[in-house]
Amino acid sequence: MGLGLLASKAMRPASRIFNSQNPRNFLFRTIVSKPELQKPETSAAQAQPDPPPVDLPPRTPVAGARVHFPNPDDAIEVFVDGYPVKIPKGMTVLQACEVAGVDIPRFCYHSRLSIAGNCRMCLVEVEKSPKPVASCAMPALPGMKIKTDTPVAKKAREGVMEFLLMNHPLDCPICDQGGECDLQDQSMAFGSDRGRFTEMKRSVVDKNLGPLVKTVMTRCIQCTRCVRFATEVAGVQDLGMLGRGSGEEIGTYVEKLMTSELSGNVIDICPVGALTSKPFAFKARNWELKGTESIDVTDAVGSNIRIDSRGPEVMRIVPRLNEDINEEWISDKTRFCYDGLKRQRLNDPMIRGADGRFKVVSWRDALAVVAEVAHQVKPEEIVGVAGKLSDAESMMALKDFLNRMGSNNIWCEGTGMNPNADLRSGYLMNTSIAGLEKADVFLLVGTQPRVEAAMVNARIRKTVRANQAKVGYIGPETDLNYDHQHLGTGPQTLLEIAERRHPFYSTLANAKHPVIIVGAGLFEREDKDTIFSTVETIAENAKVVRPDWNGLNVLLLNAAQAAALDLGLVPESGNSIESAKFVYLMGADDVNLDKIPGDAFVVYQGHHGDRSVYRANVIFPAAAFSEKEGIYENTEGYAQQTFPAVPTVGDARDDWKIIRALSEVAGIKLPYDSLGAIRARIRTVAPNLVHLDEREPATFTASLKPASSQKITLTPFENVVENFYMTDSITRASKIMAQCSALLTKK
Amino acid sequence: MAWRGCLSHNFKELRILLCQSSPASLTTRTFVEKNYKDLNTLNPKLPILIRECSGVEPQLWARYDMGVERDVRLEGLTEEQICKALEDLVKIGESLKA
Amino acid sequence: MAELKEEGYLRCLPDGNLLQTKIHNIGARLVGVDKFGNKYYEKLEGVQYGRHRWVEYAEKSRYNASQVPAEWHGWLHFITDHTGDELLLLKPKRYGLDHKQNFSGEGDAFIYHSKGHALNPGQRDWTRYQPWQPTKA
Repeated sequence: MGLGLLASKAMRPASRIFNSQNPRNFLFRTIVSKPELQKPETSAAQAQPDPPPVDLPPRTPVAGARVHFPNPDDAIEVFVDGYPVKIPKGMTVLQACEVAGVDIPRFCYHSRLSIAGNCRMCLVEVEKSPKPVASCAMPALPGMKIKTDTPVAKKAREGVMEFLLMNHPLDCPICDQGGECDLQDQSMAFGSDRGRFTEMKRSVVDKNLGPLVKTVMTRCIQCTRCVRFATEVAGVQDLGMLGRGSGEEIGTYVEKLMTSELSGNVIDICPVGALTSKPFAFKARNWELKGTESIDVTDAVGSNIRIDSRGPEVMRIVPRLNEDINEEWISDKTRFCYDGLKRQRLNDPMIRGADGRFKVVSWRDALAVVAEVAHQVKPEEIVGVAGKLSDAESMMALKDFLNRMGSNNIWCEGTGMNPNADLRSGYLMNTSIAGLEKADVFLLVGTQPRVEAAMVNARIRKTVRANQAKVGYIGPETDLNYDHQHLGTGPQTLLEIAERRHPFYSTLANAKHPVIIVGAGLFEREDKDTIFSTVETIAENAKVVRPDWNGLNVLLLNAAQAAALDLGLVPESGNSIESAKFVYLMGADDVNLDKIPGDAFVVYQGHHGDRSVYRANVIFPAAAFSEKEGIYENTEGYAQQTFPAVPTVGDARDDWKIIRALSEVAGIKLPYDSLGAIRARIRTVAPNLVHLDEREPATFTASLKPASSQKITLTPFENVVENFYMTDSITRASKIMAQCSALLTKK
Repeated sequence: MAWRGCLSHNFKELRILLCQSSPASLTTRTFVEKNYKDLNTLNPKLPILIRECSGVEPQLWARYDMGVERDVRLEGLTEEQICKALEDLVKIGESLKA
Repeated sequence: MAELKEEGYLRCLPDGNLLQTKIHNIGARLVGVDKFGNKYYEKLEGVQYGRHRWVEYAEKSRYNASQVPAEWHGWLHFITDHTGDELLLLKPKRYGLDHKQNFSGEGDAFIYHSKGHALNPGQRDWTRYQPWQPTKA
């Protein structure tokens, strides 16, 4: 059939020539022969390789990527479309073409998953090969000549596209992936203009994967990216390919929901509209949305996200690439918490009247009332608590304001009663998240990384798979999606390891890059200093902390903790809240409200009416993370900033601006008026916070600290995060998170 | 060195900003390594915040009551001079309280 | 005398169309009246074909063709023989709207305004968030 088509194509221009010229001359054919074609030697001479086209501009790798050569003398040279390019040994043909700047279409290949080679869209022509080669699977050999724009390669692509579209339903108008669909883009760029399919298309029954992932399995092109993602990155082997040939279906064999916390990433991975976001279904098209690059604050990892908004509304959250922190993935909580930003929002300043009901007032009145009360109280009765989602600027403003009022009792939620913020290495992840990939032994103390920081867990899993790393876990029974040894449940095991009695100690001591991760849940314990010094002893004995490798890490729980400890939000006395008369809660919803005395005047400044609002006397509406420009520091000390994606709600203002206004009304004006000014102030306190998109490692290790002499209590460690889906005010207000926690948490 | 014990009476917070690797902060780094344990044992309640950041000039900040802050540039000072600077800040603190 | 004025006989003097309608009404059969008050007449013998069905509008001074409701429109324009009272039974109860005459040119209060327009009396609340409602606990 192909030859016939070719022949008919060849015949058509000839027939045009016949028709156009004098019909009487149709028996005469002009001779088309050149002197070179007559001589046989010249045809042999043309078999040599063409010299690289000198007039072409130099090729840069696709998307400006940098090529990493593990050993530079092991580089091989291949020719891509006649252009020579140097690549490290072991790269595939597709990667070689990417280095040369040629983007080869593909469906099943993903740079972070294993190679499948089943879509066949990446076929390119390689010289001396009888058939086109799947470039994603073929390793590049030295001297290979790869041709990506020859008729063979183009025909292969058109053919593969035709086959893919044969059973693909005509769903583009109703498919959510329209506009960002790989199949649409590649069929426009590489497919033929018409199809030849006249039979009936097959359809597949839809699978129920939970409240987050919407499946329309008829659209599936069986690329198996989701299967490979689930097995490799997420660690749950939920999905599989059932059947053979055109009856292939992707699904869970039993009626199982995708409960993994990374299940939302299959939505990004799926090249067609088979797996899409259920909350986002039919809400918007991607060209209507404005993407704002921002940072996630639902946990301490600081995953880079892009907030897609249409007008004043956040429509969805998609991940951004950041090799160091979250690669290309985000957890489900990050991805789907956005509808909490629309519910239970505080939009006007309110004062609680004498009857106990809230009355909306103007900013002027509210600020005046608060300033008046603040001056009537003694300085040591003023207490400030920064919330989980506070940014560095607002915490700086709160600290400055409270200090100028004479109070030193300000702390951040989750840092415990007497936090030690002296040495940065005592509360940061000193091996950066990317550095965890080098480790070969992990000791997890009192932390459940799967629910506390899902991206760190993904990284640990990646290391366990790649390096066969061993993981020892001390804490309550939990399931991690990699093999681990459950060493114990409490400080008893820690003491055993510190005294070198435990068998795991030898694993730790013999490791080349050992890593100890301590959970921030231990901050709440009274014997936290002793536990930390025990861990430091273990680190010293097993040489976990060395000049070139610091393996002692603390995994924080909230987005605000690292910045708070960096800014020095350390209270003067631990239980100052029990004798407080003026309490300033800046987004603090997990404060134990019973501890606040009944006659204390409570000001709540936040964006959601969650828990603490009910105790408040005055409410200041503030901006959420998607509406303000603020610096957040993640658990490894990487300072990043969020950008406003949507305007603030109602009469809300930025947090630090509220405190600045309050300070002026109270008569002690803070010296900064703009974002630049407050960042200059932060520069004098913790300059690493203004070095954005950079990680400042801590050089002073815990060996500088004096040893703690407190007695260790042997109560076992507890689960810090009970419900992964509902941890802060935004996620508690979200309907999607409520559905998830009802359906997806394991009972 | 009795004044070292009464740091927490005068300061509310002590901050040392330094660079991890630059030669200007070398003396500050050695000062911290030698004296931090001492100061912390004598003043367990005083927050002595050590903040490293690349490219920052070494500074010593002291925060007194009511949010008053004083800073000393530690560039080019020897360790004894840094000690002296700390002592001066203590004296300023005492004078502020009086 | 008041009935005469109400019937529009006084309006006949400036309005020749109304006079002609009134003259045509003599000997005609009143087929029906719609809910606006428009009267529909039919005279089959002695009348030129095409002029055997007509309407006398309720409002004698301001009348226009769009005041005829849908159920009488068919009968009036010789499309069907079913009169308006019969066709009224077919009007859908769930979603059938009341008939409105064509208000173009009458003023801003009458024309269509979208749901967010300031002049729309039932203006929709376009705030994309729900403000905090204290739970009654």
